[in-house]
Amino acid sequence: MKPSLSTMLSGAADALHTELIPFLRTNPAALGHASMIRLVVYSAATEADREPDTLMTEIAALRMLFESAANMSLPDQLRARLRAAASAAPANFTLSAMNEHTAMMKAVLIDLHAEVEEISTPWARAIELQVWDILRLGADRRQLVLPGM
Amino acid sequence: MLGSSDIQRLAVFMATTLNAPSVAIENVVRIQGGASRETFRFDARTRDCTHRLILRRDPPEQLVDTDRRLEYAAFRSFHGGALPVPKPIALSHDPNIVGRPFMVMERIDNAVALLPFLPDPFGKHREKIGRAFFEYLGAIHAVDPMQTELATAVEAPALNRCWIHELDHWQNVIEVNALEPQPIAMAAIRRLRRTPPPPPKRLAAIHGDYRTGNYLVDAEGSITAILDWELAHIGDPLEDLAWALDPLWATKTGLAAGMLPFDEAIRIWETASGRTFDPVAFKWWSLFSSVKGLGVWLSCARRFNDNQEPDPILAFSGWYCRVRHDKIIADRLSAAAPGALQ
Repeated sequence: MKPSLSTMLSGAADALHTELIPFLRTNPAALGHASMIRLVVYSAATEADREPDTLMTEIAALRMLFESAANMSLPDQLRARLRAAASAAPANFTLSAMNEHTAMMKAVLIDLHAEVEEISTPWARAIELQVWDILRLGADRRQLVLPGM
Repeated sequence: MLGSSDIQRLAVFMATTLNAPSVAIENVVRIQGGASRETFRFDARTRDCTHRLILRRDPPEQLVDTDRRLEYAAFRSFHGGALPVPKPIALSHDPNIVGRPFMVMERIDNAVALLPFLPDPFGKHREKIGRAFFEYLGAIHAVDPMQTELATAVEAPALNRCWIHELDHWQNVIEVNALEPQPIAMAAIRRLRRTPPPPPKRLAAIHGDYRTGNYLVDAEGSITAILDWELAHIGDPLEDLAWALDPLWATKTGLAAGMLPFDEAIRIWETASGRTFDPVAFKWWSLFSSVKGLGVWLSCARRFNDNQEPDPILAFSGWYCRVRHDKIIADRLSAAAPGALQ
């Protein structure tokens, strides 16, 4: 058994809070910086555990959306991009590679979203709702709850 | 930090500024002064008295001169009037005195800037601070901006172009600074462009960042200084009101700016400003505020990411505040999407 990354980072944030910050009371800038570093490290502890799940879930949802939207009456170039994005995969499963892949998919998502907003059909509304579901759930998953907040 | 040679040159500069034969610079301490400028408190002692001062130095990457001039013009516009605004003392564009251009202003002691994200930043003075907060915002908006020095530092848009002037600016900030595509921000911007707000009846001076954290409060709950005017401009006063009322600053209380019931806050602002609240225009500016917030936080993230500044407040703001504003916008627009269950 090893301490998880989250455990190590949480411990580091707690140590900053209890062992270092009390000794910085006479230096306002250092105290402010240390307090901010504590919040960033605490947030990193949360994100270290959940970010792979957030990204994999988002990639899967975007892939399904793109596959479905590619069959709709959209401009040919956009449909081609939707198909390509739906069939692509991250280069590997490092966070950096998955983030890069998600960024590529979000660029396609922006164009799809803008396109369906201009179309007055039930299927376009359905896609728009799916887009918002993905965006809202992604925003929910990324919220941070900070100590003492 | 300021080195000993910086302090020697500052002493010469302050002697000229204060018209004193000589000045001793003492008690120099860097303090938390936000993410945009390095802030130092210091005393300038002349033969006759001690001046308690604040020095705000530009960040390492050079801001355009107008940003610094703008903030100084805003201080000059509002110091000495109905608002508690510290006296501006000097503005220097010379990078050779303390390493970068800077401004000096009067220091307000025995007061603190409240942290907006604490569970209860206001304590027993919540209502008192809240009333003063909205009264002072109204007082800013009661002033004719064209009669202030601010009008010499910024362009005044036409009434019907206030919204597009700001939206163009903040869309550009987002596009320049975003480290990845921003589907929520882009959807909000499209929505804002499709539904322009009605124009204001008359222009106002806009503080630009009027919120908890940017004013000082003393132990009795009195607001003793309104600070951080670097985003000041001329425009629609609802821009400021919407930013002050953005859900980001309300934390968990559900109160306007975390302090007062919404209706009471609006009533105080209307009385102090002599203006009438327009709920249709406010709805537009409210969504705009969250987009502007994303612009601010994405800029912080960019500056930290590009290693321009190691200040951890940039990392915190660029992360915590950004994801909060993404959620605020996504919740609002997903509920308003055509076909969404209301």
